[in-house]
Amino acid sequence: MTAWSTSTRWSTVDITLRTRVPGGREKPTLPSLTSVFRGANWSERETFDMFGIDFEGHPGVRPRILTVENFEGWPLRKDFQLTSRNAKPWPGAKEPEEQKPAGGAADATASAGDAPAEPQDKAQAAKAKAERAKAKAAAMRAKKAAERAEAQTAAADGAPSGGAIADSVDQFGGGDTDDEAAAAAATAGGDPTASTPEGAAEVAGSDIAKDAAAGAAQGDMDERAAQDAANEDEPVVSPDAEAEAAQGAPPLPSTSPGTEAEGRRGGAEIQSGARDAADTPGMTSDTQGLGAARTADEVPAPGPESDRPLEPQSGESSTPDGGAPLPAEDDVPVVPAQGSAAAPLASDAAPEEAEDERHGLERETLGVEGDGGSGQDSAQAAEGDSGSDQNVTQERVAQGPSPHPSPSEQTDTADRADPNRDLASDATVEDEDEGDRR
Amino acid sequence: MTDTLSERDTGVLPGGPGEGVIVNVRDGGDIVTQDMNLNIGPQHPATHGVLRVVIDLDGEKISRATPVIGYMHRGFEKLAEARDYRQIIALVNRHDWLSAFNNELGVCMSVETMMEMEVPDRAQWIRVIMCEWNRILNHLMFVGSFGLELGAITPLFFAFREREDVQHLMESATGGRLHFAYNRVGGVKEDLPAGFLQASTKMIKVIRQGTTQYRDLLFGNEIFMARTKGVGVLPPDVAMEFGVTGPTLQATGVAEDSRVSQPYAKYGELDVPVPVGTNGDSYDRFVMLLERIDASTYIIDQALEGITAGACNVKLPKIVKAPEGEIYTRTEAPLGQLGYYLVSDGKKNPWRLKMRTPSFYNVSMMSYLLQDALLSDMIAILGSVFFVVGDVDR
Repeated sequence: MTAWSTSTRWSTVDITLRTRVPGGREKPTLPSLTSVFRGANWSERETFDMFGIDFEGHPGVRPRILTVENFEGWPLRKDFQLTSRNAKPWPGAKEPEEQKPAGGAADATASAGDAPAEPQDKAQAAKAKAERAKAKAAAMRAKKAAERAEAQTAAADGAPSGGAIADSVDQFGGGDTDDEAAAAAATAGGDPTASTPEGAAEVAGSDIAKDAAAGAAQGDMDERAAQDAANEDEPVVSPDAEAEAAQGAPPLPSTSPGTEAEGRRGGAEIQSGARDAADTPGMTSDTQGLGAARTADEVPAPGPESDRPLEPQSGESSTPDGGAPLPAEDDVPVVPAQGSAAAPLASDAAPEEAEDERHGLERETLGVEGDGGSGQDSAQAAEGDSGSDQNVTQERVAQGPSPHPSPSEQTDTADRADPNRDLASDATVEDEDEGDRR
Repeated sequence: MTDTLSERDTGVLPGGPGEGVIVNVRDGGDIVTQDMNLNIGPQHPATHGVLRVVIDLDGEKISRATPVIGYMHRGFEKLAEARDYRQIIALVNRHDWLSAFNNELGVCMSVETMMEMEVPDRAQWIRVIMCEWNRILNHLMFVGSFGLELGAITPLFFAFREREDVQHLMESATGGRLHFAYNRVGGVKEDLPAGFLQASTKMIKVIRQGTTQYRDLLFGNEIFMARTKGVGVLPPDVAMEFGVTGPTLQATGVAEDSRVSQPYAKYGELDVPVPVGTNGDSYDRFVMLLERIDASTYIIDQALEGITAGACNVKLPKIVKAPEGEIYTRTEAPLGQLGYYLVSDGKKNPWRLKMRTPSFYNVSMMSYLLQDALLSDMIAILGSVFFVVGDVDR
């Protein structure tokens, strides 16, 4: 029935043949090998489909074997650009910290270059990071205090909150913590409102420094802090993974929180601001137009527990240009959607002020970067476009529909084709048939 | 009547790939017939995915068959040019999704060879073990589905029961049941979990009992034997001409196995049995599956004995860049010879990654194999030529 062949084995040799195709790029033509190998039939059809090389003597290179029959263009040629890549460069092309500068449509194959030099002293760097985080936290608390004071005096309006966020983005430069932003935060930081938050900050700061130096990431917050650290001008590999790598494990690709996580933080920043406002006694006006619906229970968790893709909304709420204040109507529909969609965080909304403040501290710390980071993404998508509608449409379509669409207008227009759009220059359509159009 | 029909243009019927098809008009004297053009797929429960076969039927006999592919073309090769060597591992998991580990291994090996990287011993042993488990997973899938297409439902459940256990085993080590992303350039991601080797040993016994069970179920079944014996005979020279590899080729009598002819990982030190068939029919191809499963358990046994302690991977630079040059690396994927032709220009992305996938060539000879076959045999033939549509189209 079957035999086990142990002696009559075929030994094979691989031969690679290379040729220059006569006819150049305009009309490349090669003789076909189908008369020698019948199996060359499909191979040559695929080569024709992908590169446009015609084969003389082939029974029929058409219809195109892999792409659609009416496809135009030769996909694997280097001058063939994918239409969706014209709208937005592929986010995975850059390392996470390289995505911070608001560059234009980057070349997807651009090398990241060499990673920045390793810090000579990891503990030193970790300590510096912790100090920056503390300074940032202090600045955020000062901001919150100013916000609350403002809200108490101002009318219920969406503008102040947007302004507050815009101001924070403005102050911190719309980017992740870099040295200028941290310095600005340190100088702008006022006195902490209570001793407990500072104690919490101390604890948080020392935790970050301790764990980063030890090379172990323990707990949610430390992991996030490590991610924050990785987002700064640090090498690709977080110090934690570096320590592991020293033991022989390969450095893990830095787990980029991505725009989604930044969005969560950004969204969380708004929530925490609202919650603080609600906690203040005598506070009856709607700081952010949230109304009675907002309670302490509805504050979402900023970490991995919250799986809502809040990035589009926070991308809208934070300024694309990192400076101009937003129109008021952008905030109102966005935030209640976040609030309603937020997972209740009953346990964390415990009345203990210290715990609240620590969680608040987390969110505030992360919120700054979230705003900046998502602002940057919007900036990238906003390049070369007019109007924020188009930005958001492009961004949303490029990222795919949100599984939990908010009732905001931007979402609605993104999901439906705009009848007034210019079809010729519609780069949002992920239509691979338009192969050669740039 | 004959006059009218002979005067009539034979007609251009829709259904051929992209263009009209002129069907054969046969004048049988008092009856004139035309071939019927039948389109099977791309959505069809028996075509193993989105494969479309356009056939011309002379009654029950297939006079011409043309497989039409491309319904699952995802542009892997273009995507690979935009990804660095870490991201490519997750990408190539997905063209032959039943043999994901082997795909990753091919890519990692090509980069390692270009960088002249020395992969630690333990990593090589782990790779062998994982490759063979993946092979068993793949073959069990086709054992089950082949029986199903012929009407035997029980082997499917038995095969998938074993598959579940093996997938659980793989998940304990890699975290994935289908797409493992366990290989890295220079080794594997991390060491095997404690108890994996013992669990492997137990699982081998289960698999061996399983193959005995499938033989009992199917080889004694008259219907199965009648539907597969002598059906879809593929001569070895035609198979080699089309570039067919893997169990399909071995069933024709050619003992070609990349693990033996160009050993990689630790296969050079192991005894790799290569079963061959005699007739090259569907029955032989099916038997190849079971024989290869048994061979894989034998190889895993040897690897479990030979595995050494040590590091599982190599410390990589922060950005992995393959030096300039090109290389063709081939491995024995469960479906056949899987080759990666990697052209690098020194950057962290490949300049060109050509995937020589086994299913592409296995399906290309379908037009030969289905010639003059009966329609009812077409399902048996399609099921016996093992391919994964994602592998065909990439």
